[in-house]
Formats: sequence, structure tokens, C-alpha cells
Amino acid sequence: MNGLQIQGVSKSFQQNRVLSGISFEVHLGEVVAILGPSGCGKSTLLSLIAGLEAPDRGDILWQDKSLAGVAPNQRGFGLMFQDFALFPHRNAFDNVAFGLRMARLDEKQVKIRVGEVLELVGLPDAGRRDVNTLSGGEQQRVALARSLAPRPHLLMLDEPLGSLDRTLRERLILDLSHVLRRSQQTSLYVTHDQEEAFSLADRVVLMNRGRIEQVGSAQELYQHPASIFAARFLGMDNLLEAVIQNGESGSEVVTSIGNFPLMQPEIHGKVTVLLRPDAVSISGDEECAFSGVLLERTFRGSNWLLTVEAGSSRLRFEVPVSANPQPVGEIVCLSFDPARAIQVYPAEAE
Amino acid sequence: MIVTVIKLNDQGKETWRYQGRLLAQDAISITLEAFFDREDRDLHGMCLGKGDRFVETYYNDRWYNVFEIHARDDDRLRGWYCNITRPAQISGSTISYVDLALDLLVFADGRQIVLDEEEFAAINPSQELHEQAYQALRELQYRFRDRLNHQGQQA
Repeated sequence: MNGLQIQGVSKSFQQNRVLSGISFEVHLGEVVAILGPSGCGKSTLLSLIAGLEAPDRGDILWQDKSLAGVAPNQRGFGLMFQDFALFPHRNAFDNVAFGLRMARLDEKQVKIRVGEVLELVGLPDAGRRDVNTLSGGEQQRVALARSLAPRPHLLMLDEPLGSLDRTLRERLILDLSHVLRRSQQTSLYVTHDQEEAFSLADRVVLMNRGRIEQVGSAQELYQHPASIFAARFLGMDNLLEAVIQNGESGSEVVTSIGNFPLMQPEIHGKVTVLLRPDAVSISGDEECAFSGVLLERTFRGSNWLLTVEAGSSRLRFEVPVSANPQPVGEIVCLSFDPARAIQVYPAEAE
Repeated sequence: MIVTVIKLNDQGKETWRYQGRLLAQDAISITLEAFFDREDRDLHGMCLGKGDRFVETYYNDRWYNVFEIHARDDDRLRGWYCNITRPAQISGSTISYVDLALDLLVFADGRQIVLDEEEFAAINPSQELHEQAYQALRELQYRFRDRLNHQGQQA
């Protein structure tokens, strides 16, 4: 069933175009992450969905009905963000009860619901505790419980874990994912952190400079980054300038490290080639697709990270522990399956 | 169309009244244009000049209003002054609102300053009023959050 639909939404502030032609959907019960660098328009998008601002163009629908003209408090959406601090000097119960009391629930129902959500976030006994005595992680859980309590149709979370340290964040992401799924909470999760997005979301909307670069599952994004931006943002930066040329056995990609068969026949002219860091292996001379000088090798427990200088580029690859690379300074031969290792993009406009 | 704005204090007593020109109206909000008619003053680094153009939006369902301030000479955006208020009463050509002292000042570059928190505390708000006011403040802070990020990024 259709939950949230964003259809061709654009928004400018004065002369600044913040969002351009944004379209995607969130199905009921689904957790979708909006991933992108700071300033890509993520928070403005949530402001539009929440109804705090109105789009210049396009429409936002909930269950096939347009939300144009529907006031923020009539949408039944919840918004949780990092600096949305809890009310200090109040206990956890009163903080969680806030939205329920605003909705004029009677105290008996308030008590039942607060108990349920505190239980859900793993703090069944925290109700009476002053929030100032809670740890950072516990405060985030109470804030989450407060957002979940009114049973929002859609819960929007904007960098909710942003202020916490890395270790605590990693633990809370898993808990959060668990809580959202257990309560079948339709959610939009905004973050600049790909690990957070990947470990939490069913699908990811990747944004850059107010536009959508790609929508898909974490696996789809990682296996087939749709643009140079997507590849770079996901940490794949073996990018080579190249041209397409017709060779004896079909089209070839001509790069500074060698010529490779082209698997995407629709592309012509100047291109940028991504050489996936995880799709290359060390080989003997006879299978060598290209070679380079090994500049660095780092043992990382589950694999080796190699830095290789080939052509005039520095490329990084991950190879299995069993690959047993030669010492730094020697020539290393590398091979790959072009269908898996190479992705070709039209060259970036200058 | 000329619209009259009446500002009331938390006791419901009228503290200011002025007129503006209607720019837009829908079921939940009304936007008007008015010109600053007090002497030039410096507001935490934002200069307000007599004759500055204020584009003011009031809502009948939100606990704030938003004044977008443009310089009198070249209409350059100076920033936004947002009042935390009870939801505005909009009837015919009259808007009245109860001001709750708490304000948010947003500069054109996106910086934000919360003003008059002590003054709000001094009206001794009930727990519900206190929470409602801060909820509104946070909603506003969120709404203006991306402005900081998008300076200089042209359409």
C-alpha cells in the first residue's frame, strides 16, 4: 500500500535552489534513509514533508491524498532531530507523555502508552528518572520513545544520533533498527553517514545538491553506483579519465593503465571509469590486466588494503588475506573480470 | 487590502497595533507587508532601519509567526524575526496574537539566536505552555536549519 509519495518536488529560498525535482516513495512499514552530504537539502525536504514549508512545485501525498494545505499538526507525522532536546528537569515519563497529553488522551491511556514505548526502547523502569540523570544513550532512547508514543503515521528522524560518540552510535543504530521494525513504524531517516543508512534502511535515497542521485537498497547502491558522485560518496575513488574507442573486438575503454573491453555499449566519447576496489585480484604475469608499483599494503584482519601506482594514478584495492601480496616497492600484477570490476560513466561536465 | 495587526501581551492586553497590505491568504495562514516605523536600531548585529520592509506570515494553527525583513534601500534580505506566540486569531481584516516573549532571530546567512528566554520564564508559564512554546521554537529552528547550508548555492 502506498504510504508517502514525493512527486517532482522543488524548493528555492530567495535565489537559492535547494531541491530540484525530487520524487520517491516510502511504503507502509518501510524504513527509508535519505543519505547525502551536509547541505544537500535533506532537512528542507523533511520540512516540506512535515508541512513547515510548502513546495514551490510538485506534490506530497500520504496514502494517495495530497497534503497540500494540510497543516503540520493535522498530518500525523513525527519529527525527531538531534538538537530536539528533552525537557530538562522533567522525568522520562513526562517527556514521553508530552505528545499524548497534547493530543488530549486521558491519563490512564497516557500511562499505558508511555509504559509500552519505554519498554520498546529498552527502558521499562526509567519513567521516574529525571532526564538529566540519564546517560547520552538513554536520553536518545527517551527521545525516540517520545517520538513513537503518539503512533505517528510517518516518523522522520534527522541525524538523531549525530551528537553521540561513534561506539554508542553503532550500538544505538542496531537498537533503533530493531525498534522501528518491531513497531512496523514507517520511517524516513536522514543522515550523512553511509554506514548508518546502510545498516538501518530497507532502501536508501542518495541526494546531492538538491537532487536525487540514486534510489535503491544498500546492496544495489554499493554494487552499481549510478553516478560518479555516488561512487565517490560510497568510498569508491578509483576513478580514471578515459575514452571509448572501437577496437578489433568491439568497443574498448582506453585508460592510462590499459585498454579494457566496454560492457556498457550505450556510452561514447569521454568517460570516467570506476575500478571497484573489491573486484581485483593479484595474478601471475600471464593473466595480468594491468600492473603497478605496490606503494602500501595494510593488513586489516579480514583483508589486505593495497595502494598501487599505475599509469599516473594511485589506486586502492582490497584483496583477500590469502592473496599474500609481495613486499612494498615491487611490481604487482592485477587481474579482474571487467563485467564486475568496471563501471563507466559519462565524463563530468567541466 | 489593508490588514490590521494587534499584538497582545500574555495577559491579553494590547501592546502594539499597526497596518499592513495583504499579500496572500489561505485556510491556515495570512501574509502581509508592513514597513518598520521605529527609529533605526541594532538587533544583535542585524541593523533594522526605519522603512525596512517586513513580510509577515501569521498562522492560526502554529505557535509562532515569521517576519522576513528586507532593507529599505535595496530590498536585500536582512533575515527573519520570529515570535513565539499563541496561534493567531485571523478574522476578516484583523489579525491578533498573544506574544509569549520568546523569539528566534535568524540572520540572512542562517545563524540563529534565541532571544528573551528570561522574559518568557518571567511570565511564569504553566508546564503545558512552557512545553508548547519550546516545541514551537524547535520547529522554527528546524525550519531555518538548511538556510545556513545553502548560502551561495545559486539556482
